[in-house]
Amino acid sequence: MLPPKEFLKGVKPFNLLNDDELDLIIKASTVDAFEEGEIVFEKNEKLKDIYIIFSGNIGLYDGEKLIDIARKGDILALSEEISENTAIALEESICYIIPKKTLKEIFKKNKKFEEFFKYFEEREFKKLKEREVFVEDLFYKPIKEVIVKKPVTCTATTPIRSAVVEMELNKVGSIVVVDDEMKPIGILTNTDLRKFIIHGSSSQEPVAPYMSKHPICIESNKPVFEAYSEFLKRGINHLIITENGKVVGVVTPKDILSKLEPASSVIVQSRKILKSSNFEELKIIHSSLKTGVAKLALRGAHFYELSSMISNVYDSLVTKVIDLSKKDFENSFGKLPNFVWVSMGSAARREQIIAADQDNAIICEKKDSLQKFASIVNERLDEVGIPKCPGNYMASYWCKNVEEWKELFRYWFNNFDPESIRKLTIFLDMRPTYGDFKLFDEVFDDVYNLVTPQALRQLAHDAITITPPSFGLFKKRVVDIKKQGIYPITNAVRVLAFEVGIRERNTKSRIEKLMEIGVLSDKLAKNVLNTYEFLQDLRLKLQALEVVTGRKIGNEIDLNEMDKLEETMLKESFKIISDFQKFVKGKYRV
Amino acid sequence: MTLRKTNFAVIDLETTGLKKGDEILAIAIVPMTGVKIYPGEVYYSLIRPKKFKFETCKFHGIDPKMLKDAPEFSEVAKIIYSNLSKKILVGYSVDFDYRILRIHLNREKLDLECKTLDVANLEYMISEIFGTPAKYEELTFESIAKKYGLEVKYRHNALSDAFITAQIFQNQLLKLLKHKIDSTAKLFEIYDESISRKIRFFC
Repeated sequence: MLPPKEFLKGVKPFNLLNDDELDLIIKASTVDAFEEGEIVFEKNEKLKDIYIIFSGNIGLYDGEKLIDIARKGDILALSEEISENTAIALEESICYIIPKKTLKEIFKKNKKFEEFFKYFEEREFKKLKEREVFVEDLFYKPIKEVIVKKPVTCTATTPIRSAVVEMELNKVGSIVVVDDEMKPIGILTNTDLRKFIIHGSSSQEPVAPYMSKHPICIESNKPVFEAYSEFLKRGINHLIITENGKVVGVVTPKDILSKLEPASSVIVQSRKILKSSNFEELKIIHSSLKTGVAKLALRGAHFYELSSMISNVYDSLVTKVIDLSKKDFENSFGKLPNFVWVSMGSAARREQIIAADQDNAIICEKKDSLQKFASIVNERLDEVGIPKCPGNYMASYWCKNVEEWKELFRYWFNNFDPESIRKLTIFLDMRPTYGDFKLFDEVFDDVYNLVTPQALRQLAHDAITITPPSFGLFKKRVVDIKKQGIYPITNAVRVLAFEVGIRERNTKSRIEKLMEIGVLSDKLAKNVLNTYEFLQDLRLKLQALEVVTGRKIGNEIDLNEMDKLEETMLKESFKIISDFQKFVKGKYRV
Repeated sequence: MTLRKTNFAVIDLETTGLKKGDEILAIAIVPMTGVKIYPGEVYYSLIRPKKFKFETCKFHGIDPKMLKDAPEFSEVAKIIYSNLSKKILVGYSVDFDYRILRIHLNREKLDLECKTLDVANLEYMISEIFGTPAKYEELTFESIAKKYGLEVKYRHNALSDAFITAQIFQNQLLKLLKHKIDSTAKLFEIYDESISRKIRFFC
């Protein structure tokens, strides 16, 4: 094999190509070398080729400013038609140069390859990754790992009554009919029993005439996906698992789903919350929920789907804790005044991921004993596993009546000191979770009237102060995805949403509304949505690892530990945030 | 002639042995212009010898069966000649390959007259420029390739060896350009001197 082929095979997405397609690419390519300081391409140059770096380092410049360094295996000019930056070799560098024309020819033959470029161009980062996640473990385990119970068997001459008693005792929906070598000759299921009820005369009849003959069997070492496709293909509900032809178990689609889908365990656990009546139990449920969600995240579930699920679970947990506490409290101290429990921050936006702190407050008619009650609830939430907020943004500190809240907002909106801006970024995202929601509306109807152009400018200014990192300038290539990626988006989107009175709190919904009414162009909105999900996915994965391994991981990512494709996507994401911030800057002249 | 515009042909042969009378079994030619390599214009052919020596199989790994349908040298002589003439030949121990090629081409009444550059000699020359002359073991094909971060997986496959040689040469050209050696005249002047020193040094 020609060495270039070896090299290309190791570079995504060229690993998707077969030998003939790789040959075509190699035929059309040039291997070029650049001296230190030599220009590879200039800004605004029409890019007819893509550049795959084989050795050396190539710097990307925006004017004089070095914004990124591309290294071995990186691809330059992958999606842009006109170069956005000037590329200069920072040391002696060698590139494989491939005409885009040739890539397009290959698109016709190789759908996956084409899709890769399409998704990349549209910043559909999620889809680029999808393929990899799937292969991992989901369906590739041997089916025997799914077997839950020992097989329940009988022989062809067993009286039907005895067979049914056996099924009932073992709580199974089928019994395997075997010969004297334990080889299956039939299966009797609940469905088969209908035949007996219609045609049978005595419960002492043997099972043989009523069983389904030639039952579907699968050897125990076959992968789960083969078993699963048997279910789908044949529409059966019981699959006999054999080892060397002998029955070792029966598997149902439910067994597969519950083993392979932590989602179902999450659903089961969250139902338990509703039934639970003590904090000890809630704590256990919460911890297994965290694990379930973490597993889902590691299996490739995405942020938008997961966060809404987590959000619901979190709400029911909070509701339950308040309910139980309220009963206790009112038993001892009498009835509490009318109040609404609100969530702030990511909980308010329905964006929390696994390990969210408490962020809550109370809006009430009159305070009375509510403050005392609030500190009990904060304590209890901490006990069941939702840790206290280190910044004390909790109901025990933030328990105020409607007038006080209005007054606070009025103050914050009129005094543009850093503290007020900070408070606004926290308290503008509020969502009622328990109690009398009217109290919340009362406060927020007022808030929307307080929004002034000056206030928006201040908030916009705050939203763009943290800019995405430039890479290559630091030896340590570490980024805080929460601080440098997620917050800038959340904060800027909030400002835009408040300006036009969008009442949604969820960042995704806000962006979609902003796109709908034309504040954001379709392209920018879609790019920001994809970027936001990509960054949240990364963070979700970090948190999931934290839950599963028990190690403290945090929100920092080391680019040196990422795979090339992810690294490229991360860099693209920061470019989009930069564009988005430029848009905000221009709009509010900050 | 500036180096950046010079046409090179990086070659590698597999032969039945290392003596003058030995025959070519495979040839690979990788064309370069300046520092650019053109993988699409690579020429490669197996060649059916008149006599086949089984004992050298272990070096070149060419199975006699593979040669059954290969052309004889006379059939590909012209195309090989046109791929090489007027170019500077580059290779590892290129002078041996050049000599064998000339003998083969002469039999077909083709007279090949080329300058040659041996990447091992070039490497020695570069090491001199940088102040520490390379030791003998630093000048093997594998160590030079490794120095430039190139992986040698299929040694003694003419095509793969020629390509890696081209990539070595590409890196060497960058080093030369950095030291303002940017024309063939300048290059050969220093190269020839360096070779004579190298011979004295190693012999």
